[in-house]
Amino acid sequence: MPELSDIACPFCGLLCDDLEVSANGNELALSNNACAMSRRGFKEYDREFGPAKAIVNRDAKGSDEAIKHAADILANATSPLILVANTDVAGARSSVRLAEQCGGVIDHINSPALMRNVSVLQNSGWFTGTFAEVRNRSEIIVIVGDEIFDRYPRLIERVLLPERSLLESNLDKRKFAFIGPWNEKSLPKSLRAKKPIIIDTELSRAADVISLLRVMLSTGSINQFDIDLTLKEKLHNLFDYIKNSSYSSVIWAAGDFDFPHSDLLVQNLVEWVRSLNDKSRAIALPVGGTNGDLTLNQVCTWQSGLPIRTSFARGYPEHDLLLFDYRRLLKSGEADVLLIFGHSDLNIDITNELDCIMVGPKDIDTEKQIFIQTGLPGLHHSGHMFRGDGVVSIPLRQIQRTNLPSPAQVLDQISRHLDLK
Amino acid sequence: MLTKITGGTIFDPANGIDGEVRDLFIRDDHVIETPPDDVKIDTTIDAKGKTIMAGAIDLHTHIGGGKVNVARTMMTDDHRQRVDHRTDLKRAGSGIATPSTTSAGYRYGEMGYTACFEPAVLPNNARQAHMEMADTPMVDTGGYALLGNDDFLLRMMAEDAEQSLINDYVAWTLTATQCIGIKVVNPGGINAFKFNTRKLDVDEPNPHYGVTARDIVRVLSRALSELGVPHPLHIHCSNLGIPGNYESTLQTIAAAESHPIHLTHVQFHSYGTDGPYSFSSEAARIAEAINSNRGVTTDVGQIMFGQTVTCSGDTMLQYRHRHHASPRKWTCMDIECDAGCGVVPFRYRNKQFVNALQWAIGLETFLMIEDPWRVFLTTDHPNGAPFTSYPHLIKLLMDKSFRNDQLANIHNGAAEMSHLSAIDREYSLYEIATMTRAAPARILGLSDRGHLNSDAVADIVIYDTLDDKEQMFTKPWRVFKNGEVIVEDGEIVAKSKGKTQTIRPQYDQRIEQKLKEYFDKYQTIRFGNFAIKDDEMAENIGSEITTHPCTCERLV
Repeated sequence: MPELSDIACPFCGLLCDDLEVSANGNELALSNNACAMSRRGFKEYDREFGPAKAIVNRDAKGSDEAIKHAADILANATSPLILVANTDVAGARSSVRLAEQCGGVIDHINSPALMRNVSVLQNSGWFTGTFAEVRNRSEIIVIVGDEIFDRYPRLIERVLLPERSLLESNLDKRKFAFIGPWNEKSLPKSLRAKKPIIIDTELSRAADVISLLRVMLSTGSINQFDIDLTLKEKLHNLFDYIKNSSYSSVIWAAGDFDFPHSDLLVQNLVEWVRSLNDKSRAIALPVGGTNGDLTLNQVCTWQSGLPIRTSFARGYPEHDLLLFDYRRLLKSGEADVLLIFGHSDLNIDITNELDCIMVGPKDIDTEKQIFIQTGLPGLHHSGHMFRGDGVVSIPLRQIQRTNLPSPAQVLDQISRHLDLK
Repeated sequence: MLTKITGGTIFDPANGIDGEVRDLFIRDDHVIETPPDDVKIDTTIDAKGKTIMAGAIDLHTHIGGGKVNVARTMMTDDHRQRVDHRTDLKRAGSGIATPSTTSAGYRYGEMGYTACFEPAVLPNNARQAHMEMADTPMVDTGGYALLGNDDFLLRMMAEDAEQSLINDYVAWTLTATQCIGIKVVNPGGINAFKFNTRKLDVDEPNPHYGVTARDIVRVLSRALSELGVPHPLHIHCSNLGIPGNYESTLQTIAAAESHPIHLTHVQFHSYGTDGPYSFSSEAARIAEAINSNRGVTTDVGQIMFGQTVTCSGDTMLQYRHRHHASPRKWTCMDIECDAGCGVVPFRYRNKQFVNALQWAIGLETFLMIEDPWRVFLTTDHPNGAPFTSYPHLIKLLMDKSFRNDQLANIHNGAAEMSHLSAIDREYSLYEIATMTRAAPARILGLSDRGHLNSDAVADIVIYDTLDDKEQMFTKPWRVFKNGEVIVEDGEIVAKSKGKTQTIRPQYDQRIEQKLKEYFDKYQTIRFGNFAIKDDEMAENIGSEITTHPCTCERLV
């Protein structure tokens, strides 16, 4: 018998909350519905019981001392960067507050992907939906990208092709299309069986494909373009399916769009979806959420009024997508202190001159100046994370006892020291 | 700690006190009766010549939840227009039309508002709404859960479910979402839009479920009535913004079949089709209907000229109105088989006919509804205007000559079509205190506030008594929250954190089995994780709850 049911897995943006968990000695035993990513994730952390490890300049210290030291460094920083690598809502609240308190910049390691979507929302708005809408209403689902099933292992069973749907006939009819470097063999088996339309293209050229679909929608024809006949036939095929569909969903994970100016592809997708609504119904579903990127962005937006990549250097929030990109701040040397939150051993390029404070959940030996170990929300602590559709926040439960502080608690302690300065 | 406020002129409509000079006593966080002479007073505050009211309550303001964050993201310029610097007392923040939670709390506190209610809590997004409100300092908060476009209810209705089952579902929803009321937005219309219906009148059946807005208003208003929930069904009527929609509003009043209802932002639902632009005011007809139906309350949703953004659960109508977006961007969302949202920035212009007439229609509505206990002061923040325009709105209501000066500045054709210049009424301070304190507290079932009786929460505002009412209501002299001074001369002087106001109607728990089956089959969150627990509110969401009793003096 499982000891706990309806447990959420915090390791990807799906936040599947249907796991059953029981203890097997010190190890956790997960129910069969847990994916490989979930098993790997829990296994990596389920032996961390504390007390919290803390390191200052390669020497093991008490965590109180390390926290005080971290506060000293932040108090003397002129341009600190709070880089969040994984977080729940409590951690996000604490990191935004800390960034504000020390006049720093707040960003997330997934922001290069996330900002491809956010910049489009800022500039033009969009027309989106959520997991349950896609699951229950879609007649056709278009997937743009290449790695979405690796990023979200249970996407198919939970959203794309569930056993039941509120509108059974829509589920029966449900058709799939793939735009990206796909072939029949690379598709997951269950979707291959649905005989999807595959438009094989490099992702950096996917915007061209979407543009052609938009031309078809507005003029009814793409005969004026000199394009491959097979591609033309597929585009017509997809166009007809969408035209006859009562509800279309267009899905992507912006992390797949790792090429310059890929926000223009997102813009193209959004405009396409919006135009589809002139006659029928369609939604976009940009899926994110992994490592709490949407969680941090939501919290930062409501607390400061602005998304991540926001600076508090002047004592009030200022947002700039380019200026406050953590990669630029690190590369240019503008950041003089880096606080990495939610990960113990993040592999990013930093210069030696940079003071680095790491607050994360795994016991490591590190070259960084300061390391403070924490527990992991969703395993050692309760909390919330925002799911990949950005709307539903899922409660995380404590499923293992530990002596480790929560990540938020560590930041709050640093904050309290800073308050006294 | 015993505080005496002496010499102030008190306006406390719940107790019929209309501008009487009285002393007021606060022990800790509550108002108390006059103590015996030998009791030691710790602090005496001289309020001679000043005006005293209970803390103001905003019963309809979009301050939390997913759509507000979408609006914040889209309104980038709004967050450069006004910023809050971090201080020892205040968090940093930004924004006017879509303020950060921090800035929203400070602006409300500075104006003497001590409780605010988010009217559009999607059940699946309730956690976020409460998290945002928990991060809104200075004020107590609460929310109304959206029903009436959710597939679960419409399926039940299509299957002719008994009213008792619907009552159980409504009560369960209030409990699971930690809300204090139920709102319906464009009844059935948001759902119909998902089936590609672009407009839905009150008696048109939903294309999939066959139920009408009339059916939905009837069963939900009856459910709240039978459950004893103080706040009646909060209704955003069908056909928002469409000329001729006053008929839908009148049909909605009839649909409730004499169960109490609250018509929200009724200004947007009082439009006729007369005149050269086929757009006219039907405020008189709507006001008359409200005057003659004692069970109907309303808030106006006044518009003000300038930049704002409309954010609504009404995907169908927000999509329809997207062409009016200024700046030209808009967002719509279909959300979790619950409802949806639409965010469309607006710049209301005084020389534009429709905007000018909307402004006049709102004021006509305020001035033609006779009973201040049944009309509430709102701008449907931020849809009509940011809530920071309330003091200006109060001046428009209290000062006829100021109102007429403003009327002279709007589009001539709109001014001519409006009845506004012929209305002499000026609101009194007593009436303002009614519509911003006593009445909203009563209609929400908040027996512990909105008045200055003994045992009231010591949420008290002291104003300098000024002729210029805009100035007077912009910067209170003192604001007390739970007995502590949090504002002096319009500036925050102490931190304050509110609580979430909730209600717990009883229900037959067998509804949960039915819901669990539905969640297992169709939803993407487990039933066991859907309901927000009380300790979760306090610990992880960050706001303790206060539960109000489920019995209330009915207006009817």
